[in-house]
Amino acid sequence: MLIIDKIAYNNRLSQTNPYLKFGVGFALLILSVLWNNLWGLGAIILGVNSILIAVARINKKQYIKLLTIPIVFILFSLIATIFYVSKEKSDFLFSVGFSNCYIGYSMITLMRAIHILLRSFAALSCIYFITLTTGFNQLILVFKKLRIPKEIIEIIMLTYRFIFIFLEEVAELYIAQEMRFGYINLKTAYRSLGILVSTLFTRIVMRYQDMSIALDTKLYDGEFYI
Amino acid sequence: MKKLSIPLTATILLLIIAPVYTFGMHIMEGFLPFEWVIIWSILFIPFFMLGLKDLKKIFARDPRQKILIALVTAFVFVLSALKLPSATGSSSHPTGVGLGAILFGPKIMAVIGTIVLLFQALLLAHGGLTTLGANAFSMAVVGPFVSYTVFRFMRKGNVNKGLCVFAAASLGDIATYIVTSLQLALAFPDPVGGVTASAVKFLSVFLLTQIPIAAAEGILTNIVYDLIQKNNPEGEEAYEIKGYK
Repeated sequence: MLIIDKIAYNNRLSQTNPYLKFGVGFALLILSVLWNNLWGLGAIILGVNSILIAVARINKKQYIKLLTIPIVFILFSLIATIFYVSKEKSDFLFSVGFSNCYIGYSMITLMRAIHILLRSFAALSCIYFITLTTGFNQLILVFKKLRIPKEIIEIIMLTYRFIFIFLEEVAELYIAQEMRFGYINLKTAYRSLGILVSTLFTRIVMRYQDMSIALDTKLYDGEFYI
Repeated sequence: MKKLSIPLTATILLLIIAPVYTFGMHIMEGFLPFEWVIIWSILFIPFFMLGLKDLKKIFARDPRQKILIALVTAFVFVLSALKLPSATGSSSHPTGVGLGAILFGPKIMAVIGTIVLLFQALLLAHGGLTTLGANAFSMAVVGPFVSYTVFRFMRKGNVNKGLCVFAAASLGDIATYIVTSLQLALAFPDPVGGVTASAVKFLSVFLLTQIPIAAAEGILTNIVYDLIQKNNPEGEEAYEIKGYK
């Protein structure tokens, strides 16, 4: 159901040492946030993406689809950083005049926007390098090596398991509601969604009780051995 | 075209932006410069540690609560992946943080919210690892804290419970939105007006979409809270993490 998760288990790099993959990806991620050189950022983007496509053999169509959503998001966030209001016209490269002030962009804001765009794109490529080549079971090994508190790792592991159970349940509930015209207009949609969420919550409590009993019968001593 | 009316341009601009921004209030990967990545992480870590300390205490008393916390984390994550019908016709995503804060308290929500953000960054490419500190500060610390405070405060004043839940959830959303705008404004000040002008810009860009979202989240949280109480004769008390309050 989650496409990133699916790709992570089905690529040519999925069996490579997870520490190496995470190490390289994370080092490049930090580098792309630290490095102000536009050519350097371009090199990171090119390098990481070519590894993903040529070495890991990730489906190009899927990858482009994965890239578009965050990129569109970033582009729109950039609007507010490019445009600004001023009373003098001299700084602007392009501007629209209003009664007594101008809205437009200047060389400085434009350069800054290009920098942010490249930085985001480089960082995004690095994060995709980590998540698309490293499955979650391998990531947990990495978390362990990073000495993240034991409690947090346990919760992360359990959560990862539950997410897919719930996504399945939500899909089933949603289809059942949709078949009964549950989302035909705004008012019923709210009600349906409310019912869906509260049903999910009730199921959580039921599952919790069931799992507690199951753990007790397995002589649970308060620790998940990962 | 030289003299366009401000309201008209603003409306057109916002209509273009609106469907995209309903995606949420996450700061994307790599969007913040390095110094702000560090600053927000440092600001956020103490809250996380406080929540973790509480969790450790709860786990020491009853190790089975680990499952409950993980279930709630998965629940919030799945909620954030749901589509929420909103007034503008497009869909937005409920955060579920308000509900969690009301039921479990803000300190535990800081840990749960952070793990949810981590999963969103890794499984949905929504948010990011470098911006995790900043996002967690606005969404897992400030949002739940405001929701919780509003809820407690209004309950004490004997306000109608439905109104309390609505106000808590929507004000928590709005607080998150203000903090995110400030974070962006501090990192990218306006060349003329500085941080203040930039803050106004970011706030107004988000305004048109965030107000309906906050209201929608308030309504939805209200319905869910109501149903949870109706389905369980003991009300919310049954879901409280034992030994926390």
